[in-house]
Amino acid sequence: MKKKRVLVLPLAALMLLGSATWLVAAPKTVQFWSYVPLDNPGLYPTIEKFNQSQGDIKIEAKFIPFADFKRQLTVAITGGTPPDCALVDNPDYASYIAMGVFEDLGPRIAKWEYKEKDFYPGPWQSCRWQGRQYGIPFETNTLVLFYNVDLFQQAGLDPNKPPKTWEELTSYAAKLTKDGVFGLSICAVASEEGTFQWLPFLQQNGGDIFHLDSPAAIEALQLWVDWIRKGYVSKEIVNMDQWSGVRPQFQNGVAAMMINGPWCVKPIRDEAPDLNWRVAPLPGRKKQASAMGGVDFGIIKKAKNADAAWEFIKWLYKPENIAEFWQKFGTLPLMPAIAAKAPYWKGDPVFDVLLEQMKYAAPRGPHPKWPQISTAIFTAMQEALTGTKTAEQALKDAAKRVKQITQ
Amino acid sequence: MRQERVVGYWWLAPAFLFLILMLAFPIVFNFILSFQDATAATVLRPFKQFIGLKNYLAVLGDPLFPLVLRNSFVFTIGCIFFQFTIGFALALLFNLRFPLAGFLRGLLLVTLMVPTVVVSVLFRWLLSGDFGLINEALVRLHLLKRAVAWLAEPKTALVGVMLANIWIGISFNTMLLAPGIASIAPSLYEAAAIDGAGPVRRFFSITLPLLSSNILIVLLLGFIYTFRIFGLIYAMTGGGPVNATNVLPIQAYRLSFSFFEFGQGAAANVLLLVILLAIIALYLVLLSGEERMES
Repeated sequence: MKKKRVLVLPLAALMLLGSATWLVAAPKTVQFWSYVPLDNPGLYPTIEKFNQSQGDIKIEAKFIPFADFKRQLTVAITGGTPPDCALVDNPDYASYIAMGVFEDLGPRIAKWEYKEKDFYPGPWQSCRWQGRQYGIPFETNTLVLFYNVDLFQQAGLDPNKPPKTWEELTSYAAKLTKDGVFGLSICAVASEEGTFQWLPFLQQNGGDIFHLDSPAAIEALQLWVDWIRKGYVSKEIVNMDQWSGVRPQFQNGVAAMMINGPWCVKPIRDEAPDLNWRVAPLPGRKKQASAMGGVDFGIIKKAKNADAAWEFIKWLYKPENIAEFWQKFGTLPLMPAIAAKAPYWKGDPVFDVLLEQMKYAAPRGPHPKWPQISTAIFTAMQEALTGTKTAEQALKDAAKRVKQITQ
Repeated sequence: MRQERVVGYWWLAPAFLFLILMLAFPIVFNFILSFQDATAATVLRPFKQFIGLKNYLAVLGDPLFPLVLRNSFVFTIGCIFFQFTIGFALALLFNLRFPLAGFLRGLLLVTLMVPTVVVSVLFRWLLSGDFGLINEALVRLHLLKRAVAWLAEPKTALVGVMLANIWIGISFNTMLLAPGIASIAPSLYEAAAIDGAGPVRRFFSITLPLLSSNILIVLLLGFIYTFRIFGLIYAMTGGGPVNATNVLPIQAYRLSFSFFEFGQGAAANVLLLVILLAIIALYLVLLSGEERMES
């Protein structure tokens, strides 16, 4: 009997104490949604580090696969149970802004140590709409030309002189194409990725998405059509995405060159350590241009823990945290000052090219109807590449569609 | 007696409630949404404006819609024709007694167990124009002159996704038809054989008429499952190239979750439901005709 009481008393005291500390220091739990894979060595350990660093705020990250992310986020928002903050693919960002989902971060940024000028303009623009800033760029990437040095040498091409113009790119692709090897691999899949890959060519030729029936645009699409017709590029590119279609072609030596992004660097280094490859800026035409991808961070309007979510951003973007975070995440740095200082990007020849290319990276849109515009573009690409329509007809139809969408 | 019946309904109440919550509510909600102005800009408003048939007109007036509808019907009818005939033939085969028949019949179920995404990846490789096994075989057999990029050509892409779906669906047809075939009394066949009926005659005069209600239900379920196809096509081609494999569910998904035209997406779903209900109504009419014949 006595024994029992001895046990009960401290237990009760402990329980009281436990509940008391719970009452005093209940951390605010911030719901944070993204499609960043759970094995990403950047995001999740960094969130853990933030949670350990203080006791007031706990970031609870939820992973939703990319294919289902837009659906789940939209359903949660319209259903009235949104997270506090989320990462959204930047071409979709304007749609969510138009939906009224994201908080205008202007007042918070006014009191922040960073301003617009501290970021690369492309990523910063991607979460801006009608003069207001609704997000902070979180991750960014761009497209460059990857090329196989051994295949270059076998074809009698100088690997120190990658193609600099469209004409050179075509003639290199012709020389590199042989039985079982395509000269070049690109992506023309029926999704945002297809648009993403062709837009640089449109922009290099001085075209833009609001004049898709211009000669500059037609020429840019005809270039791709000719590559397929001559067999320099596989017909299958209309079903090949960048990650599981284009990258393996290059990685396995089935394509001598490819256009792809920084996400390929680590897997190629890990999975094909013997592959002798380099990267070069995309060849230009009238000007230099490349695509800009990435995700933006936004706080949901009227979120319960909006302030706490902003505290996380303030902590994350401190110089001592952000360089390491971006490096581990596998993205290019979003601020020139960080890129100049951090040793990770400085010495690496691949990242040197990527960072140089970043200067010419333009965002898609931003436009709340970007998904429709993009669909018109990739549909035109597929029509021309499969020979369903001529490049001219396909783009004329697309231009009409874009006009309907944007009027 | 009456009292008992009332109690019986109470016992059923939870099930009814469940059905109403899980089935009727989303359908009714979707139906209402299809008459509302619900786009990216308006979806978060507490009261959405009713705009009559505008969403339906937008969906039906889309220049893409006739193609989408045609794709849906070609896909569904084509798949069902081959799934059913091959499935029926296999069911007849497995009704014969031969060694390993049971084992092989069980093996057929594999097609139903493999996840859709795995099937789509598998068939994307098989059908590839650059290194696909199917091309290799067809070229070696001199049935094709050179490799066809099945899923990359708008003319053949629909055939490509149909091939994958037929492969999935055959065993479903076999499984539903086999018990019906087994339940036909052997004495009927013996009697017919004595009267001089050959195998073909026996099939058309005994097997087919006695199985007609099984066949109807198999075709109906097949139609419903196939018409609603989404995952397989989404993973194989995403509806492309150039909308060659864009079917009604894919279009509804695109409207809602790519374009944020929620009202139009809902309208497309209602149209899908209406088509399926029409098919079910046809089935009920056929079924009642049959029952009358039997009685």
